[in-house]
Amino acid sequence: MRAVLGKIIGYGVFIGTAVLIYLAWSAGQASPRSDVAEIEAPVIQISSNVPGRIISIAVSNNQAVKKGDMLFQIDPEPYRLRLEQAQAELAAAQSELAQGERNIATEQSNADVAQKQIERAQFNADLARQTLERLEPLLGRGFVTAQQVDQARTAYNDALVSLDQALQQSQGASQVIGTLDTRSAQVDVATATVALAQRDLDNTTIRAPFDGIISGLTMPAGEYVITGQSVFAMIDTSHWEAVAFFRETELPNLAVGDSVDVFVMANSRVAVPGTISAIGWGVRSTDGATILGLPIIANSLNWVKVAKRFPVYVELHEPPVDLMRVGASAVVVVRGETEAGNGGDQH
Amino acid sequence: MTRSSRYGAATLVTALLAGCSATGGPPSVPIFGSFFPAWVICAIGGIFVAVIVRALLIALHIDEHLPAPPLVYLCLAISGGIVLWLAWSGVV
Repeated sequence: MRAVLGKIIGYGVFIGTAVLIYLAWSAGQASPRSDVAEIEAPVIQISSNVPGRIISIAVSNNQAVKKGDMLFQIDPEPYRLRLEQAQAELAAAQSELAQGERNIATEQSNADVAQKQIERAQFNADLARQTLERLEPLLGRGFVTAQQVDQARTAYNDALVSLDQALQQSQGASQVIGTLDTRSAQVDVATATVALAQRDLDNTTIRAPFDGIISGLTMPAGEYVITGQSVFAMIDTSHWEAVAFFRETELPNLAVGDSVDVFVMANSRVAVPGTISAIGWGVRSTDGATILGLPIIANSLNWVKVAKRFPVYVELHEPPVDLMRVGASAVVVVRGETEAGNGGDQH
Repeated sequence: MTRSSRYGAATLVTALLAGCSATGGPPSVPIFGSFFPAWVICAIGGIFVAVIVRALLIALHIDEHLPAPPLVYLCLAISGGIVLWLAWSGVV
């Protein structure tokens, strides 16, 4: 009896083990997991757009800020003075423009006067011609002297010369009328300078570009910073993600859109739901290094090669705020495709 | 120290109960500040299962009738570990 029972138990254990190994293998295939994962968030360097001395810092290290909150203030004094200077230059240019308009008006009226002079010279010339025409027939009959006719002819020629002069004068007066192009361009330049100065003055107040957390702020106020110099970093807390490094052999069982559970090791009892948003397309290989045009080849021979790992990016859905820290250890377990149905082939 | 060791012991116990939860436990367990894969703990649990079953079988005098006893207990340890792991990951 016991001999039979012993055989049943023994062979049952063998078969059971084989079945269980298969079950465990297929379960592992269906839900790949990686214990090499980290919590990540976009981090940007906060810098000033304009150089200057920091006169006050409105935030403290590791403080949460809202978009638009003031972060720090660059000394605005030189920028305010520059704005005032630009505004004064604009006023000068505008006054130049007004002066130019008045000059043009004067030149215009001079031209009008010259125009009238033409008319007058024309009338005089007409009168002199008529006088001459009237006197010439009378000379033959002896009613007028030759002297009188000569005087009339001279008067007529004189009037023609005057008309000519008036024409030339009017032409010159019209040509002398200037334009406002240069002066209005100068006003445009001054207006742009004012706008730039205003922009620089506005940029002396540095504001938070998004909701986030201040990090790496160690300096007190008083430091002189130049444009683009990093003052501290800011973590974007609205885009938490987990980056898991999966073996290349596991990648065929993953697909963008698969739902995953992320366990942050700070509190591994909480499973944070997430979705695979991307799978990395490349990692840098240490085997493929090239120096000065020639590749470096390792001469040692490895019989066993370790599978490469590629980053898999997981978008977290409503992650618990207290667990989210950049660089925190995490474990990612893939739960299979979502209802979206764009997942890969799963068991 | 005592807190984390107590937590480690507690997680070992919950390994047996984790099958109740839908999502399963985390695949890594922090013990003394290091993260151990759950399957290592389950494998150790499987060895315990094999030891207990062996004591049981010896007491019941079945042990001497087993075909290839070392192999049977090895398979028992493996399958015990797998069962624990499946329960831990919430598969069964």
